[in-house]
Amino acid sequence: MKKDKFDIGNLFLVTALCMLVLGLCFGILAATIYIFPEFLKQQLGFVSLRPLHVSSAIFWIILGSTGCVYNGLKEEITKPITYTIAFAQWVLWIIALVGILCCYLNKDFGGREYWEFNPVWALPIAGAWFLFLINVLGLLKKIKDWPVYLWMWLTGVLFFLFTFSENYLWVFPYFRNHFITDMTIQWKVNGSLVGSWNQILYGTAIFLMDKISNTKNAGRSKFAFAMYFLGLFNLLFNWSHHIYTLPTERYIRYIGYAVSMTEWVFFIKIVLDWKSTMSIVQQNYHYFPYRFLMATDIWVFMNMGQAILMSIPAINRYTHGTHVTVAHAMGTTIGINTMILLAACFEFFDKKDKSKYANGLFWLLQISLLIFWLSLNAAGIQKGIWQLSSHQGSYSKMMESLRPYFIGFACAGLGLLTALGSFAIILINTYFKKPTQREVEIS
Amino acid sequence: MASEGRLVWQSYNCQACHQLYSLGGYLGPDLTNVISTPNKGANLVRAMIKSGTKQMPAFSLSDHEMSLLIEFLKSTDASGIADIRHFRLNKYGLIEANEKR
Ligand code: HEC
Repeated sequence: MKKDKFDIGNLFLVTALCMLVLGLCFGILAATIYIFPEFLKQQLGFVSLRPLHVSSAIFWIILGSTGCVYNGLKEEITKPITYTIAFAQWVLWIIALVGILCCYLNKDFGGREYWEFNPVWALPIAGAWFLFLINVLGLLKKIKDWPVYLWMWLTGVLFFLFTFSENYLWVFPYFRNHFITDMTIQWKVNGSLVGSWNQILYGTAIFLMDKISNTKNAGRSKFAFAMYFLGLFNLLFNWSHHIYTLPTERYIRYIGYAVSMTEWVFFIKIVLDWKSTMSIVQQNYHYFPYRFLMATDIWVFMNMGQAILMSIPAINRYTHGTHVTVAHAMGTTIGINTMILLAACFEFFDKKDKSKYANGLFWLLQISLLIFWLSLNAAGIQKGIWQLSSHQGSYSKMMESLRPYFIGFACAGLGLLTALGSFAIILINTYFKKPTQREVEIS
Repeated sequence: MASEGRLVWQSYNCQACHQLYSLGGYLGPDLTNVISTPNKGANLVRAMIKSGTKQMPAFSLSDHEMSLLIEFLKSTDASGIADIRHFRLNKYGLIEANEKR
């Protein structure tokens, strides 16, 4: 007999929720700088706030994904999870995230694009991930006849470790010296990292669908397996479409794009098929998990529409390097990843809440995200037109003209902070209120 | 030199606000070709870093760091052109760089 004394899956989820709250706060401060350039300029500055926001948001997603895999595996198997390893993994993450956030506050940066920090902190993260891989492999060995989400989880975990290591090639001067190679690797890595946690989260969405409807339909459907293989292909080749203007192999990026779109079409279809099997009772019993999954489906649809447009080279010329890219990144992290994670938290914490207040928050979240996404897209298109105009005015004038969109985006950001922050706090409270349930014995 | 200069660029996190080849932050302008742009160049870079602007903070780089950073920006500039207007659509509707600078 072994006790799940750390309630490891939920421990990761609650840590992730704390990072979500932090990420939202840093995000709103960073957005304020867009409107009031001198806000916190001397104290924190955008140089620190941007990585603080990005890293906290990514910690939310990665730690959340880890929690979902542990919770999911716990339900799939009878063998106990090796809690000592899992706890050591959690401790390594805490060391890394505290270290990284303190470094940013001390103006010690990784200084590259997207998820970057002093490479020292890559060591505890790689260590944590290695432990995760050991645990996951040990558990999966015991299972025969895998539903699709187990494949997705394993693939996500493996690829993350691989790509994460690739991300540090620049530490060697050889790679730094080749500027184009270095930029290409940088973006390939970012794409594959996103691809890895997407595998874990899409897997989680399918797992949740089966758990909620109490069937095995979604996890065994042909569409789900097709989606898995497309996702795998994407992990290998996707992202190259982000670097149209870098001199890299051109055909692969168009194939990569077509594949990523098909993957989304399949996801939409899987959710709709599942929805048609859900009874009203089930929908009500799993109130928020069901609603968040449906919201995910709509956001997949919206982001797919945007991505299809962005991928047309003639349009890409206008959107490249503009806030349309930010809209795409934030639209998918909030609209897809965050919605799946919230569905998972509500389900795993067994939180039953149908109050008007919570419903209000749900709608505040969706509407704020829509305004947020539209303002960024509009700002991006306007910048794109400036980028291509033959008589370009000054950069600062152009930025000044985007101010109304930035105000819309910052206000919507406040809405997101309120809605997501409140959901996070509701969930964190639920976690701490139920210590007895965490002592659940597993045989 | 240039690869050391990249480390200077990274350690001050210029990328938080600036882009190279349209990749990076969104507050400031793309700096890929700032060195060869008429009326800009290394002196502007030095001046901007020393004085900052309303939005961009001033940075105190040592002379050595400054020259490494300029080397990095020079080699970035020499590696290609980032101005989107330099790219056109070919007959298949794909994006291609114009031959001449
Ligand atoms: C907080 C954001 C921020 C950071 C960090 C930042 N900049 Fe800037 N930078 C700007 C903005 C905004 C402008 C546009 C001028 C303005 O209106 O303030 C600018 C302009 C410039 C320009 C003039 C470009 C042109 O085409 O006129 C140069 C050169 C420059 N920055 C270099 C740097 C370097 C080098 C670093 C890192 C040491 C850096 N900047 C860090 C925001 C930033």
